[in-house]
Amino acid sequence: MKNWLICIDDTDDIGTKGTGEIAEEIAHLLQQEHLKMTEHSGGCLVTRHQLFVHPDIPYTSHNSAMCFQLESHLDFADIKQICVTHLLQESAAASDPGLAILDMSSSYDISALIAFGQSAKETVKTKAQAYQLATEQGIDLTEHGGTGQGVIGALAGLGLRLSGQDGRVKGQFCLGNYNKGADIEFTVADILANTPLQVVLSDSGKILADDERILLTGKVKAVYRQHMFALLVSRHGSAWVNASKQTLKTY
Amino acid sequence: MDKWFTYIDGVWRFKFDTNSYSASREAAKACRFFVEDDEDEQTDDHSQSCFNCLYRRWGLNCFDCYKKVGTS
Repeated sequence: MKNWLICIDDTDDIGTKGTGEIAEEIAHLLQQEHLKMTEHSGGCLVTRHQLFVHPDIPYTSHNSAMCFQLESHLDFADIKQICVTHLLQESAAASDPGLAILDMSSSYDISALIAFGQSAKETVKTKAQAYQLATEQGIDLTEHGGTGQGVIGALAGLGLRLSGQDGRVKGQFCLGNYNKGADIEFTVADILANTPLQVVLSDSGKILADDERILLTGKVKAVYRQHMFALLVSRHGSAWVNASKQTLKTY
Repeated sequence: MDKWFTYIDGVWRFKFDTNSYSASREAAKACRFFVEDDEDEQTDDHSQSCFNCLYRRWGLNCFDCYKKVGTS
């Protein structure tokens, strides 16, 4: 089996299906195809990577790229066909979709990709720069409508995901009866056993032990840190509490 | 809405910064066009907040309201 990193950007418009939802759908379609060949399929969580917001960048409302990792027997041609077919079907008419696919077993300069991603959070990048880096690193980078400007974010998203230190995880997580409304305490072990999350991290980056207790309040959302899907928590008095949307906005 | 927005260079710009949750919630409560954006793009735990609105577009300092432009 091979590992692939897939990222899309600039597929939506105000009032249309979001890029994150389209990424999740593509991940699901790829997993379904993969399951035709084998019984096992791991989940692929989508991460959202915030890019630069600047008047010179034609984003819709927030300029974020969506990325996921796929472990599969599928070959490149099948993966790309599924991605492109769904992008063409679901992207907004006024959007400028870009798609980046990285074979993680190939030889590529991870530092160069991370640097591009980090730079795209602070400066305006061009399509020419994105295509040049993709060519140098053997990454399949393609545009699928409009100006194709989304190739910049798609490549940047790959780099940011590879950094292991960027992004929020799309969606929210359910634990037992928690989503009935009232705040409930769980141990770290319970949280890790009942979600796809890999770690509970304090806001200073410390990994919490399995027996630590966490008070869950509001929506349970996660971030991508230390190359793991992490529940972020902070101290409120004597209790650890999951991070609010206000806290997560900088991730 | 002028309490919360200023018309600058053809767009209605939120007068406050990204941490002004009270102002963002007040403005959304007073707005008949408020529509919640995708949950993953929200930055305020209080749902009805301009920070969570489908019609806001983030900029260098805060956001511009695109619905208000369409109705001005």
